[in-house]
Amino acid sequence: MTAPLFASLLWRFGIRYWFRHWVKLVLLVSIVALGTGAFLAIGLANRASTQSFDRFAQTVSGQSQLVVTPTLAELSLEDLRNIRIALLDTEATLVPQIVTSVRLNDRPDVSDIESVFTLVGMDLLAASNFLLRHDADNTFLSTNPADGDGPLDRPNGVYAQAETSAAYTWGETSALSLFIEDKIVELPWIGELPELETDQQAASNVLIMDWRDLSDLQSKPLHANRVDIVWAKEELTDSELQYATKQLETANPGNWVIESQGQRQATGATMTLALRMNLRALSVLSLLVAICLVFQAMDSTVARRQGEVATLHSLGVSTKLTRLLWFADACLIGFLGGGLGLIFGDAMARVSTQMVGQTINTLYYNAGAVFHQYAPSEAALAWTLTTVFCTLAGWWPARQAARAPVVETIRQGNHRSSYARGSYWIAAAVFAVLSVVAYLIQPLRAENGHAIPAGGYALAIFLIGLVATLACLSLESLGRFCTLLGNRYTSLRLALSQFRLPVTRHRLALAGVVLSVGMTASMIFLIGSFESTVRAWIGNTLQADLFIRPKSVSTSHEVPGIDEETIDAMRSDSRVSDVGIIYRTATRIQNLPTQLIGFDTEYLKRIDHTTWVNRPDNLLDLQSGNTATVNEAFASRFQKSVGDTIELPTSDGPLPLRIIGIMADYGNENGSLGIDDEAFKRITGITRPSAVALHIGNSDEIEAFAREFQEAHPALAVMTNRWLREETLRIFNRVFSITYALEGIGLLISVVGLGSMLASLLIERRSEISTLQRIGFDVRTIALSSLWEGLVLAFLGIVAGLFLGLLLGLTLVFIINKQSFGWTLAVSIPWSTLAGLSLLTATGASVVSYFVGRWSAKLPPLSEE
Amino acid sequence: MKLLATILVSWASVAAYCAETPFPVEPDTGFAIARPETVLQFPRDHGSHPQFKTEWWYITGHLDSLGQELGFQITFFRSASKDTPGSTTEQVYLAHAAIVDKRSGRFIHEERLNSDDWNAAAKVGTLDLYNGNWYLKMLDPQSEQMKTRFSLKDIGVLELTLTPAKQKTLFGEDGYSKKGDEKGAASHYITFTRLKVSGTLKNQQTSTSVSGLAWMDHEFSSSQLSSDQIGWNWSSLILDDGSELMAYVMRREDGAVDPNSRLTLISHDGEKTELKGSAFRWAPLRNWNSPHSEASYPVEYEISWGDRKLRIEPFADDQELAGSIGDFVYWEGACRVFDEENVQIGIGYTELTGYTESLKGKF
Repeated sequence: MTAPLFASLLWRFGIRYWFRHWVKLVLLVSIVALGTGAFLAIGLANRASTQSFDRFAQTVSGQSQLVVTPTLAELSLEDLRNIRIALLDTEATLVPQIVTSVRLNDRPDVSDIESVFTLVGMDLLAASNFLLRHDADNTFLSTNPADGDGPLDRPNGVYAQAETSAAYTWGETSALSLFIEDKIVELPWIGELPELETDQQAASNVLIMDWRDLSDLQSKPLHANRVDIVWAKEELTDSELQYATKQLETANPGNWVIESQGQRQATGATMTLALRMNLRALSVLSLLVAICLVFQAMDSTVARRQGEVATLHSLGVSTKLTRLLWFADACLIGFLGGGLGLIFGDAMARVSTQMVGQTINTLYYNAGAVFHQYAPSEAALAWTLTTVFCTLAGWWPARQAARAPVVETIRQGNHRSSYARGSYWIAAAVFAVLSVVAYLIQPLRAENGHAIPAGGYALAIFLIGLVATLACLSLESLGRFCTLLGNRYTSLRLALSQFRLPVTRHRLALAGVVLSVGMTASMIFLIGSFESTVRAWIGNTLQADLFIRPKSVSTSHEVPGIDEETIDAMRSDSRVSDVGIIYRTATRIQNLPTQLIGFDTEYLKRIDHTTWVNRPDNLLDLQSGNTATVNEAFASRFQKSVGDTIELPTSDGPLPLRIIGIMADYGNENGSLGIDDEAFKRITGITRPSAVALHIGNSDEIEAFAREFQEAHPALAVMTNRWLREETLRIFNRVFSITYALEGIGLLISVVGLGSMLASLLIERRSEISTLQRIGFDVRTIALSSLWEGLVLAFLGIVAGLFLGLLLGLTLVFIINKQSFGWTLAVSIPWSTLAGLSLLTATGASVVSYFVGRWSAKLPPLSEE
Repeated sequence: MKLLATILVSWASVAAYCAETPFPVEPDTGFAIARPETVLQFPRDHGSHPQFKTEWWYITGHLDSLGQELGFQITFFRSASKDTPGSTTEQVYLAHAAIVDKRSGRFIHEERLNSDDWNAAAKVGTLDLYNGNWYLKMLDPQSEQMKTRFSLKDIGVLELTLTPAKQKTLFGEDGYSKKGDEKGAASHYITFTRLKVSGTLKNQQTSTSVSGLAWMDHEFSSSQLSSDQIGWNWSSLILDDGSELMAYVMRREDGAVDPNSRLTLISHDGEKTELKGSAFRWAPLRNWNSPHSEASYPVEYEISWGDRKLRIEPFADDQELAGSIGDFVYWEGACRVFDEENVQIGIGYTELTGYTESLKGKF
């Protein structure tokens, strides 16, 4: 074989064909592009969500090489001094930061998400030294040279990025009204942030102020949530970095976590790992369905062009070359589809990034805005995967084409490809055995403690294969029904007769419908189970009349608290019959990020609103200070159960805590550890609770009390029981909004695939259709026949898909979800939603099939020989 | 009973404080002032004295390395303030570092300003202080050997060990150095006039051994300048014959030289001879006009006393520290010393302050 011959044949045999059938090519490429786009959009959204983690930290100092964070609560000044002294013999610049989130108070013109800012408190004196040394255009000391005292003397001044300041129209006379902790404060805008010449993109939703002012606003002593350790490029060497790390490790009193920026990013990424993995798996669905369509299209092309292939073979072209030509065709479609998918993906990512960002912010106390940014590596992955998958999808048809018997084909014309039933039975048996094996596979444990349900994912894939194969096997049985209909229902009989000898494309289209309906149904199953569980949990948990928390936003660094005086005022109000308070802060257990909760144990016992998986024998044991409760996610992640001991890192060394109970909650997979509030305050130094539950003696007074309290404390969110129930479910739905979008794309592709399959078959059957028209069939009857063919296929796909959905749903609830998040869910099947899904799929299939039938019936008849 | 206990505890605290410090604070300012007949003790008084408003540890020196001759300055300042005499003292630390290439005249300087929260500190009782990652500490209180480390962008990191070549000098009366006629217009002044320096100059590519000689001053005071003084000229000369010379001229607002100016000669064996302001002359020979601050500095000058006359000439004219952070500008430059026959007989550093604005009230 020579290259010129291959090129010549590729042009004549492949490219010219597609030029002639450009509509089909456009359709096929668009479908592949849609699948690639969905895959890429999720990839970009996931990447954006992990990259936004910590981005605020480089706003002033650029990218740090090391980050020191506390194992519990905050870094004290003593910690900072020790870090400083440990690194005296290095050229590192230390940037201690208080990281909190604030919400704009008086800007109804900006959206909810745009009103949230990360407020970073920095030592502006130290930062100015750094900026001066690195030739920044200005520092925090010289934005207003006319001000003799310097801007540092302006109390509570806030800096913002130039672009942000312009976007929010902040100028010299502006004051930012912000929710901080449980207060509304007015902070003067001082100026734009000094800029360093770095290639790092700083986050735009960052405000900077002096850390002393911020500590005062938080009513806390001077502290830091993290210390970024930065080297200028020209001053960084590997040996210096190693030395610094060693120095810090030596100086570490046991309550610091020392991480490289890479490890820190990884920590951030692992916090959302399970969610992102599940989204990625869903996005692969779209790509898979699209690849099914490529398979189907290639198969149809092979079937229609077997005459050409036979002619090529008779002219001496080798089977190897014809196979290569088919590969090149498939590769071309993948290449074009993947390329177009990169554009689709970019557009879709603009939406998906927001949705994923919103989900992650909700689930993981992350307040960072997530910004869409095109990532060439993600794009390259999506394009490469599409091209490779498409080429692989062309493999079977290419083999078929190459095997086309020359004489038979020339004599009989194109035969319609089909595969032996036996091979389906073998495939079904193999999938069944593999499913059992996958079920037995134990979850893998990642370094971060999270379980990766590898067996669960494998089981899902094998179940898809098993059910799709069984559905394909049952296709022929449908053909037998046509004899039962006698002479009635001509269109239906005509349609069913096609299944007497179904072709591969029928099976592929069926597999596509089974796959997308099955995956969607499984998610509906999971979400339904989840929702019903959460509803029951809400019913049990939300027993107070009012719930109060600061309007400012929790982050993974800081949890806003409520002033103790406010709590005292609540307690002393005669209308209040009971008060429950809860404290929360971030901590590390076995160096992995999790949450520490401080419970009012007496209240917990009094109200008994906790959903226990393992109820403690005596809840008041918590007051001893050496026991704890954990939630399911914690127990699963750290593989702990009642009676086990865990060590909580404190400034006085590790504190052993014996687990006395496991509770169910549905936060995130990082888990939480609960201790008595007195112990919490003693260990963390945090005295301001993060939320309060209030019980009002007389239910008639709830509304009035809430109104009065809200007026008196505008920076606190006062939520009634009913509102909070609704809000919890709203958040719940928001979390799953991205999954609905992905399923929608999967369904759309499968319905389009069904139409495409019918179109290709009807084109092949043009001679049959011409004959039917000659014996009196009108356009409507032919269109109805096409509708029935599509509908029957869709019906079978829906039934098999629902069955698959049930199996996958059980796998999701009991294996994947349980291992990923540790949540125990009660099974609940949302019948109405599943019926809606079935109806939607059937309607889509009917409409597409009918119009494809009409279109084919109107094609000019083939001339008679 | 509770009140009595509180009074007793307070009294005990005050008594303990007074017993351990010879630097009582002035009730009207809340700060201590330099007083005569104060007995300085070491290593305690190498350390910080937070009772005083101003304190500095000043090292200037000369280094030879492979084919390079450098002058260097590293200074750590501590400045205290309080709103009222009884209120909490706020400490701010400033540091200046400079390098001059004596051959090319290239002068690079940097400064640091930090509060005492975490990024700067000076220990009481021993010499151990840092400002960012610049530091100075005494390695051994017996030999009084010290180490300093500082870095300058585009130059690298200087890590220097400073070993006294002769015993420290306490200027004035046992370290009480009078600068003006007003009460408190004085400082406690401790100096190592000749320190042997060894160390390295490191950057990303190279690590070069350096050696040379340095001078270190440690002064603390609360109001060095009298109300009619605007600044000072200061010279620290290390002469080849093993002796040193320190001279300061306190300049008054009316242009006259304050009689409290002093010239001190330190002999080869450390013996100190002090001349009053009227017994010596500090005469400008050439001025350099700064393009940065527009100040005019007498960078070349003569010091004469008795039958001696020395000419001091800077290695480079532009050795002005134009502060971006601190609010004072001054000239601190490496120089060489010529005798009456115009033969170079030593090296030194000159400091010229109060040429851009009066320093009244700042020191």
